[in-house]
Amino acid sequence: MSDKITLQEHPDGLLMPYVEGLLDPPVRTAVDTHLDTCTECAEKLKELERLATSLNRNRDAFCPEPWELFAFCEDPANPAKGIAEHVDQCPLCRADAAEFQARTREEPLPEKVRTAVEFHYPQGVGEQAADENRSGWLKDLFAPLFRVRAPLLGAAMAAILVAVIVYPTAKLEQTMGLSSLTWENGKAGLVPKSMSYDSRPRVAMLVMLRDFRQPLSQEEIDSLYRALKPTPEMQRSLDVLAPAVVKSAVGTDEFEPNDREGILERLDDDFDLARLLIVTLTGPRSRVVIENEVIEPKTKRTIAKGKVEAVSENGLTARLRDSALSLLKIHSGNLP
Amino acid sequence: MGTRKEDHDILLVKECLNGSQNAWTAFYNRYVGLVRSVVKRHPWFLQHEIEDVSQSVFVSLMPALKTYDDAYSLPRFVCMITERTCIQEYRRRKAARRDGATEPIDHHDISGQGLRKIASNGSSQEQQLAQTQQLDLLRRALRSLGPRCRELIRLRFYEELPYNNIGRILGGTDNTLTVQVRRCLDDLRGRYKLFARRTTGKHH
Repeated sequence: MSDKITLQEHPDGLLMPYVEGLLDPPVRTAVDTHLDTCTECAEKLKELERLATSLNRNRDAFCPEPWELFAFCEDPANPAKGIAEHVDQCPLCRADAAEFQARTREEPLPEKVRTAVEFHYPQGVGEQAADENRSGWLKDLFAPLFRVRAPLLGAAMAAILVAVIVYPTAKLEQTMGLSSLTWENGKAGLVPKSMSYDSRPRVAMLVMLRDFRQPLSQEEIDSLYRALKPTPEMQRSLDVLAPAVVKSAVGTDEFEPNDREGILERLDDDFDLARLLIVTLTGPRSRVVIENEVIEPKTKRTIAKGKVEAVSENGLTARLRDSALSLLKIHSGNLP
Repeated sequence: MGTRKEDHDILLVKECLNGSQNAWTAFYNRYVGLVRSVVKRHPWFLQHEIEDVSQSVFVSLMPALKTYDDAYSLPRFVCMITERTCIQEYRRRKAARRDGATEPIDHHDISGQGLRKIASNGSSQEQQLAQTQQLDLLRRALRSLGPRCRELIRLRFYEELPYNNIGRILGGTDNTLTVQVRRCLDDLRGRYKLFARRTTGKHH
């Protein structure tokens, strides 16, 4: 009996197995016979062969986009996309991922890039000298992103203390400005955290003033606190101490303005703070410099810093609110 | 409200646009690995050119960053500028090589960065540019497929699994999967052609 097969129709469903070499010999022969006389099927077959060859040769086409691999290295919690499996199988992506994850130390800008920064932003050159004495806050901000991260806080909650210190005459001395302002939910007699059912992390803000030849009035200090009032969204997740509460803790002669450690310890003891934001405003009034610093009171470690220069008196409260609250929001987002 | 990383990125961009050297140092250190990985995907750059091209990307980013909005993530934006810079650098270096005396070189570098073909003389570089663009089109077409098609094609052509193994993973008989792969390839071909039409002339 003959094994010869004759196809009555276009073997559209057989073209793929043909390309992949999966047809039994008699069937393959039948398809060959058909292809000899059917240009339409022959063309379809060529297209399938081209595409299959292209897929086989261009394995890079299956690699994730570089920014996806980068994001995966920052946060490998995306098994659904299969990137983890691909990295296991792809030596090129594995090498790239290793390079992304290996960069944990800060290197200076190369000469070419540094020169370009100075060219594009000549006004920024002057900060370099001042910045040399600061800790690498931006490094601290981003370096942990490629490492296994320990929790930012332990079980303790932190609070950011805001105190405004008015500086009357002495140059470069700091004063704390305190206010009796209470926000809507301000509590005059604060319940100790250990006895509170409020599970929100506790945060306070402290404003220091330097080099204001004409001291700020109490009304002006109060307006700074009003500017720092947290948004309702923030208050849902953070217990932000009202200025009056802060004043009750540190508004005595016990503390010198520069006694930062003492202030931190008192605030942490009294309120079990998660974060302390110190906002330092340096005069003159016409060109105020706003420096924000987020501190973890328990370790006294600076988590982040930010600086806004040359703020006019008119725009001060708006810029203060924008810069301070955004930094607070960023560095309180993951508090337990 | 964005994610924490998106907030970090916005803050970093702000500080960079304020001209902070510290911010640019942090920006450079954060993204130089990503930039290098994109530059290395272009086979016409010699090994010693990768660092210089990478630095050129950051120079390009300085004016470009002013146009950044959060339509894309910052890493994706950085990659877009890197791609643009790579094309510009390719044209510039091609013109420079054309004007200089060159010996045709054409060999493979199988160093730690994986298999790469080192740039050779002008005509091969054009072919490499075309191949790179085709690869990019293929990648885009693959990614635009539905999840099942993408996974089917990946299992068949990347992992090279037989149909019975694929059937165990995704379900279905050999015949069914063969038909499905065929349909997915037809879909892929259509998308490839669509993307190719959209980008015709873009890089010329």
